Amino acid sequence: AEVKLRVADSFPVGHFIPKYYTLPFMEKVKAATGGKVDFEYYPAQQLGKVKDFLSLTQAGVADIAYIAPAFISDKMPLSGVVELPGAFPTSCAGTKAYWEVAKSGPLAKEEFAPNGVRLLYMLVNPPYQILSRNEIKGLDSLKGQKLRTAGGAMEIMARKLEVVPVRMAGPEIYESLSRGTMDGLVFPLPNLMEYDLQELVKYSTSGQNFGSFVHNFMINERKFQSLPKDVQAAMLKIGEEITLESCKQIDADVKPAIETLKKAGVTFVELPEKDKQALGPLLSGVGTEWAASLDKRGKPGTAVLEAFNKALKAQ
Amino acid sequence: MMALTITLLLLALLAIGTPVGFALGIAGSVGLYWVGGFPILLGILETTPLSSASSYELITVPMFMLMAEFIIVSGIAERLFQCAAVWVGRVPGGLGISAAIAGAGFGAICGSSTASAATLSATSIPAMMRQRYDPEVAGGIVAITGTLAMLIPPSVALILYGLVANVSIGKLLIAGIVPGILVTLTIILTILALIAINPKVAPRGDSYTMREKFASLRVVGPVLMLFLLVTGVIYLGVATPTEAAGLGAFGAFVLAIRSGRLTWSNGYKAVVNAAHTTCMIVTIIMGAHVFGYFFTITQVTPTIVSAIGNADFSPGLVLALIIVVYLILGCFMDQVAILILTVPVTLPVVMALGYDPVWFGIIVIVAAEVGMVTPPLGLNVFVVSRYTGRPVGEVFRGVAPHVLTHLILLAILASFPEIILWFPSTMK
Amino acid sequence: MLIALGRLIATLERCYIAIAVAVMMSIMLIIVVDVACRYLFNAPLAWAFDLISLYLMAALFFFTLSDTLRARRHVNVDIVYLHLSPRWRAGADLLTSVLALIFFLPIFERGLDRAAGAFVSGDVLSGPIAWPTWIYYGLVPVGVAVILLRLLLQAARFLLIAGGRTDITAPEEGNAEDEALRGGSAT
Ligand code: NA
Ligand code: NA
Repeated sequence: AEVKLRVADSFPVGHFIPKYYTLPFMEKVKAATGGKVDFEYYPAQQLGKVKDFLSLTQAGVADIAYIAPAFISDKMPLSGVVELPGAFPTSCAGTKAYWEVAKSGPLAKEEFAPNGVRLLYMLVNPPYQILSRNEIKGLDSLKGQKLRTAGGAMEIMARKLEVVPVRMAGPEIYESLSRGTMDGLVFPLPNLMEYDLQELVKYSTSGQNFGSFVHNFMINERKFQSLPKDVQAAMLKIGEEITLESCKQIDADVKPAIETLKKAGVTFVELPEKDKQALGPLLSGVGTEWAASLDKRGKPGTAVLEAFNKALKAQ
Repeated sequence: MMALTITLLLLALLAIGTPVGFALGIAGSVGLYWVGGFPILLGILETTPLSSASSYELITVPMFMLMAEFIIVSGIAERLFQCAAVWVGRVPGGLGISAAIAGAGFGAICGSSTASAATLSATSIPAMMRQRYDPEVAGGIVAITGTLAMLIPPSVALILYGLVANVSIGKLLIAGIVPGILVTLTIILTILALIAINPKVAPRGDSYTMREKFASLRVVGPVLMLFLLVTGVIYLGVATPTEAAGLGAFGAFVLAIRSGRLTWSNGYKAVVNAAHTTCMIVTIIMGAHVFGYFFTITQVTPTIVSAIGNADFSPGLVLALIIVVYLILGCFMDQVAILILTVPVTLPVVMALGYDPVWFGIIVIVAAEVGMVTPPLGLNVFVVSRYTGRPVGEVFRGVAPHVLTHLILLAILASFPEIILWFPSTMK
Repeated sequence: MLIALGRLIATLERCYIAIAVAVMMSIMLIIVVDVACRYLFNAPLAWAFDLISLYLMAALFFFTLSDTLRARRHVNVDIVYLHLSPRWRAGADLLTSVLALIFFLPIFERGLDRAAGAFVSGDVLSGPIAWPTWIYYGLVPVGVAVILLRLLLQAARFLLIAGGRTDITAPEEGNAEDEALRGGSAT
């Protein structure tokens, strides 16, 4: 191979994200370019901590890396638009809208170019549900429950829902939940099994969107520009294909996840109609607050929020 | 080839006395520069120091160190030893057995085995000398007993293993309890065996009235409280291990205040000591990361793992070899460095053979206990020798029988994993 | 000159260690208050996690870095070192100091660059509390600056000793066994 690219992520071997995204991406690019590029794949934080992947990519330690904006909200605050609750019903809806604003829209210009990276492929988690050991009847029953949130916009939401946000490092979730240090968590359903949490939660909301999370895979822009034109084109094309195709797989995995959870004894609760009505304005208030705080810092928060919502509506 | 050269550079730096963390960082940096020039080296050096220091779960380390320092100030070890002596002092070898029991009790509230050896030396050895114990035997008992603190929770060593191996710290700590009790019993049995060979080495002690016996129990309350505040809280899930460590430090702080011995000056010094130790550990972690990234880029670990996998050795043989390597390393190196350096390489091998990572953690710690008392670098022996003014060689000789029985116990624990794994399996 | 530099470094280290002590006690108290508030009032401190994992742990490390070196609390393996003559030991220490200096220099430079970048662009973390990140990145150059000075001083000192001159900059040091003892008290 003419060029060898180092690819780094934080996922354990066998995780579904590399399975649906990174491994096929590498295979297809290799095939499409007739072996001009080869990849060295470093999973499981072997090349650095997940928060450092942007810096490591900028420095050239990795050429392509998993860069989750939520972990570096100081460097990519605008990407937080996908994390806002209430916006979209499926992974594909969120993925397509984000892809729209990210590929050539404001995010590419405001957030990726200044950081010297380019988006190759990405996915948005299926909307988060609220899961708890305690019974969930309606919004009132959530009040005062200690729920693990991931910080950022989710914490603004927690305040609006009057739940008690608990911050907990990933490895401590299982123990804290199993022993009642916290009551529940705001989480994507398929990922619960990754942490073995299905036995620990008893109730879950159904069909809501209490936030989400975007996983970006990005390449160092300088490195990208140094690649032969056909390789560049192949990477962009395959990246887009994978992004728009694999989200269907992510959405398809929600159903079996719900089945697994039901079998493990989790009750799915449809929120009462009047709560659903109340939830709309409550959650869109989170977005307004989020955008306003960015505007104040001279970042186009409102513009990105509007572009994202427009992309969602256009679907 | 590259990996070998850089490893040799590391060994050379270690040999000339370069601090372990620095040596790892320097050798790793040279390697990274070799592999990828300045961009890679600077990229790693930009991110690694900060992210090595600012991990949330690492909080357990300074908190357990702080807890140990405050407990030393509180003088609770003396009272624990006196209590044990009042109850079992009358039997042959009574004071030695008391030291072992007090060591286990102290280990249940102190996460550092050198701190434990230091406090036990200051309290129990003078008492044993007054009863005309053989100094060799007395020193040996205290040196080995000190190591219990790294096996019985809380334990900084177990925390470090958990952080490096990415294993549930709660489970690891709870898994240390049963082996800790077994090690205590082994120490007691060894003392009794020594007496059977030569009764003069450890004479009978004084007897006490029931009244004195019950009066001495007053110390048990605070120790038990502190034990429950940390290990009990973790077992029951009232708080995470991270939080339990903070609670433990605070409990020890309160105990130190109540003992009346805490002053501004010794309190300040205690915190500085804990901060120094934390810094030392984080420096090694940082250096090990830099070195580890070099290893990753040169693909050394997977090569070793697959080489061992392909060599078709029996799992038991591989495990035995790994334990022997740990015992040998324990002769020369600090246990923190050993853990942080080797676990990333040995754990994948052991797990590929189908062993349990929690169980392996305990095995590594029991092997590390031996390392604390074997020459030439046996920190606990140095501690005992310094606190008692006895020659180092004498203490090494005194601890030798304990090393032997400890190794037998290690073999048993390695052969019957259920002994270790049963208790943590009852957590839910 | 060296004596003045030595005094300056010692003063800086004393200030730093005082900060580290305050940080250590703060971590302990924040955890206790956080747990207590969670159980008693169902209201954990929302800022505790970020404050500790973002600022306090890093501060604890970087503010003790140099003083730990001064106090010789970094562990080392000294099987060979112990058998060297004082002058050879100084030579070994000189090599260590120079190499460590070269190791920490880029860490300082990169850290300064990162902190300055975050400061200029006013980077903060998203969420209810907008934690500025330049403080976090700034801990690196602030801490490493002093250990660089300390290493420079040590290099000068060991150079004098290795060259057979008497050391005029620092008090006696303990024997190596004592140092091993002071260093490895963690496990
Ligand atoms: Na202990
Ligand atoms: Na040893």
